[in-house]
Amino acid sequence: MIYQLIRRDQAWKATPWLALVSAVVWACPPPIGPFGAFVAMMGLFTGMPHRRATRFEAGLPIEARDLLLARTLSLMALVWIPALSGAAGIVVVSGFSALAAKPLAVGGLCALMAAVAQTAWLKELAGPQWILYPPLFFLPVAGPLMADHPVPLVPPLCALAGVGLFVWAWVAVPRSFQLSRSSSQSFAQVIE
Amino acid sequence: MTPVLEFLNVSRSFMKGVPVLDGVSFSMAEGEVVGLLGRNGAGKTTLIHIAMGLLSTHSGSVRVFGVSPFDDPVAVKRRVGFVSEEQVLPPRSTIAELIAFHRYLFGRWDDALERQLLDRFALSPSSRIHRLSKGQARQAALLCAVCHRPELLLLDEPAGGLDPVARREFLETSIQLLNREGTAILFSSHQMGDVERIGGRIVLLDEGKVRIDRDLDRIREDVCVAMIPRASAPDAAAFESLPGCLRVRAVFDDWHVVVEGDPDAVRGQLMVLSPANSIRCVRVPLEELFIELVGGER
Repeated sequence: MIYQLIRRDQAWKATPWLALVSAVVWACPPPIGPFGAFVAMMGLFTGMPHRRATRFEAGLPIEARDLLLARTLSLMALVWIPALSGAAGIVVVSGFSALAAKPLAVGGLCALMAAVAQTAWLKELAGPQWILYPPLFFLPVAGPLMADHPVPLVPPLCALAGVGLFVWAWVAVPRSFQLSRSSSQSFAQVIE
Repeated sequence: MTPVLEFLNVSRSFMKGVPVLDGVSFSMAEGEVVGLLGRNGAGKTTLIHIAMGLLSTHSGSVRVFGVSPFDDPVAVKRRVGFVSEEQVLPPRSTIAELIAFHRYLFGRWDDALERQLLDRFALSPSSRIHRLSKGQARQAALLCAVCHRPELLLLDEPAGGLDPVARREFLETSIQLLNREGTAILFSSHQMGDVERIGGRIVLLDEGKVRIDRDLDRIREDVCVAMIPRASAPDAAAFESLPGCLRVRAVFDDWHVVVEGDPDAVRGQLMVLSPANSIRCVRVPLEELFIELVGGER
């Protein structure tokens, strides 16, 4: 079931393309290189991390937990595969160095933001769109900063917080997601 | 026998103090076809979403096959087919992929019915959803909703936005094909023509309440509209106390009174209350009756 859901997920479908772009952009020398953080952020938005299921999926006999797990895995793939490919791009061009930690630090931030968006308004099909806006302002500042001064502890701390949020959501998720005003808006449908 | 679908005093609101549904109660038996009528905002879609477990109730309860769709949503949805006007199928999927996904989810799948519907709707399995017309996409949704042979089919404005030919094709297929097999069908619509063609029972929602719940044939035979000059009866209260009175409303210079009963008998009763010679009492088509029951005053 999880595989069936993941392979239909928009985030999963976008992952190979984002990984390719990420590898190329991170491998470029400055001033292009720091745009890797921007690419990661845009990739995250493409995956619509505030959405746990589409209305179409909500009408089908699928456990809410399966939907949540599939969505989380798709989003983590969308964040971490491009981050790893970005690091690989740096290694290929510049060899092993501390620079390769940059995409991983940005990936850690993106993963945490995806986890926060996934766990907000957990009873509903999707959280409100505005939950995407704070990262929109935060990442352009924090992303390049992290890229220039990567703190080794950031990825593991973000990963730990993300896992904690997911475990909480796994326990608290209802058996069926509810439609809501936010999920009935057309944004998700337009993109979907 | 356990009803297929049962609403008991269901209330739901989206804004405090403005109930969309206010104590709605009715049930459906196996094989029954029920048309859910009402104006925009009457609560039809909300009620169907509640039956699917997609919206919770604020009070009251809903049972599908005797089970709450909130307690065991997967078991309920396995036995239900659902098509909605708002439904958006995955646009990049092909029809074949969509069918494969549904086949995987439901386990039980009627291949013969699938082929029959693909032929009837002239749908190619390799077509992508985003390349289909609105009508074809709705037909694809119907195919997916019925090929697992649901025991209950919920259709929320299923033919909304379709041209008359596509509309008729869609409704005839869904209703004839399934009801023959004993599937209970609840469909909401604004179109009186659809409701009259399909027949069965009608539940009319107005201001969140069930205003009428009875067989279509009985509505045609038992309900009439009386038109009484307002000059001869300035107060509507007397008509409201009439046995079987369903609604009184002012329409220009007349009172329009919707009453259960034979037109001649009703006219006789009204003559006692308002001795005007110009009282007219007639049976009206369903569309007129709908307007009389839920329309505003003029």
